[in-house]
Amino acid sequence: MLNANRTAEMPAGKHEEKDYAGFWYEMQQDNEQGLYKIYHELYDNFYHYGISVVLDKAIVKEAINDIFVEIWRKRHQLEMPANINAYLFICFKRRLYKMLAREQKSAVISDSQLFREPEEQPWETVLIRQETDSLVKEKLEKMLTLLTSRQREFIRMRFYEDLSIDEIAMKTAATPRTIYNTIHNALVRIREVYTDATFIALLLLLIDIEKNS
Amino acid sequence: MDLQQYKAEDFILNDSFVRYCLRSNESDIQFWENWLERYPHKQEEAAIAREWLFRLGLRITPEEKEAEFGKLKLAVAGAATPPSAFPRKRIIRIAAAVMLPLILAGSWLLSKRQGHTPQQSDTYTIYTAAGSIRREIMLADGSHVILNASSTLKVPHSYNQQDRRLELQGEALFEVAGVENKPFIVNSGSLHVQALGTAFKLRAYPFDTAAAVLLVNGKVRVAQAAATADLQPGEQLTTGKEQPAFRKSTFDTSREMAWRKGQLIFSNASLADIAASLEYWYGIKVVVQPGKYKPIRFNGVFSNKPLQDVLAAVCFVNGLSSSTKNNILYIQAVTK
Repeated sequence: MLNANRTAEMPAGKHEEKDYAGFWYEMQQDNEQGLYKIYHELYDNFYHYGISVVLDKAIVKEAINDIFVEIWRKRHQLEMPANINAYLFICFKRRLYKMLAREQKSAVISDSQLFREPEEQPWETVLIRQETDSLVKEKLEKMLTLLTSRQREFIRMRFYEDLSIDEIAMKTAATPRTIYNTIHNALVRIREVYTDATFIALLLLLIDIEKNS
Repeated sequence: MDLQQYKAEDFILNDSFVRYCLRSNESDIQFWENWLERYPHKQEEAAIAREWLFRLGLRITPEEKEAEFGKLKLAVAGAATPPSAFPRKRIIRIAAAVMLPLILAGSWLLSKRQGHTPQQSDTYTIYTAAGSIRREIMLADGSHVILNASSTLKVPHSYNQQDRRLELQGEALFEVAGVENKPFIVNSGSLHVQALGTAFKLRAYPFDTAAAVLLVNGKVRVAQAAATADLQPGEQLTTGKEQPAFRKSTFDTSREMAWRKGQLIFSNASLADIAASLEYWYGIKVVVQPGKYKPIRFNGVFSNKPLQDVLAAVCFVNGLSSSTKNNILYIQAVTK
């Protein structure tokens, strides 16, 4: 792997280091609840990283489940890693790249160069590309063009990077009140363009897609 | 600000509401659950805020996560070794070292016994071609499977021990390794296809009322209820998925060769051709909405592309739009 230093990196998120040794031990005693506890603890962080790299919900979900099934299968052979979180995250990254490489191999014929480690994509790109439905994609794309770059930045920091308004204020030197108003105005603007009826129809459609996926 | 005046943009900027949506704080969850129950007329705005929150944050919703967790539990249950007669978990905890040889002996006995009834008390590996991407699988005996989009293949762990039995939902091409005395059988509902050193394709999607078996080379026997039929290379057999209704015909070998290579080819395709090809290729029901369409003659070759890429190109070129609902793909003209 080209960027070897990146493999030790943790996914973004504000979860403190947790000790999963007890859960791992339970798992090795054939108690699947231990596995499930680790799964629930790590799922959101893994997903967060995966979607920003792969841009495809289905692949990310499949990769996460695959590694946990794999760990369960090999539970008696595996020794307990010193850092369980880091170990599983590396397994997950490897699985993602494998799946990604498989897709790229079949899609790109001429490109026979070394496989590049995929980079985290900007929030806007992920937001649009993660959608499989072209209608929804189009709407989201239009929605983003309605917003100023400042509005997009604050929305990204508040909801994607999970920073509080005070933390954003520290980073950007804007006052909390300004940030609050900027995000609020952005959402009102979105609503103005898409009347409630369209937006609710769109949301219902999204919910339907999720149920079926 | 009065909560009663809240709209979606106010809910989403309320930190307590965000913690409720993300289930990160118990008292916030309690509060908002009670509040929304008391004021049901605010539920719609709160639902919009919740959707925004998950979508803008690129988060997976609790519902989606629950579905994924369900899949994991199924897979873990499938990966488990067959349960022994005594409560193994507890005994291991008491004396792991002493029990180990006994467990090995026990599972050996179980696997012996299993050989006689391979379909009962068997465990499976389940392969799924998720989304619109096909998937290739190499089985223990060297047989090769191309599992088409939206399809699932169940491989019992006893596969290749006494016989080779698989279960398919959807569509797959099987290139069967010749192994003597181990018949290769694929089941899909009531339909059974048996092969010896063969390449054949079985198609039985839930949305289709018919099923089809296509023989590329070698020989297969198809059995369903009391009916059986043998196929010659180049022949296809269609039948009802529930009841046998055998009908033999030849199939388009060039199309199947392209399919094998992963190439979706449109050549002078009309709208109906496009819909039929997408349905065939991706295993999803396709419905063309009534409306006014310009005449369409579409040409293009796609190599192993996911459905959304193909759709984007086809729709862009031909002035169409598409949407998916309840696993059905709808195609309509773009209204100006």
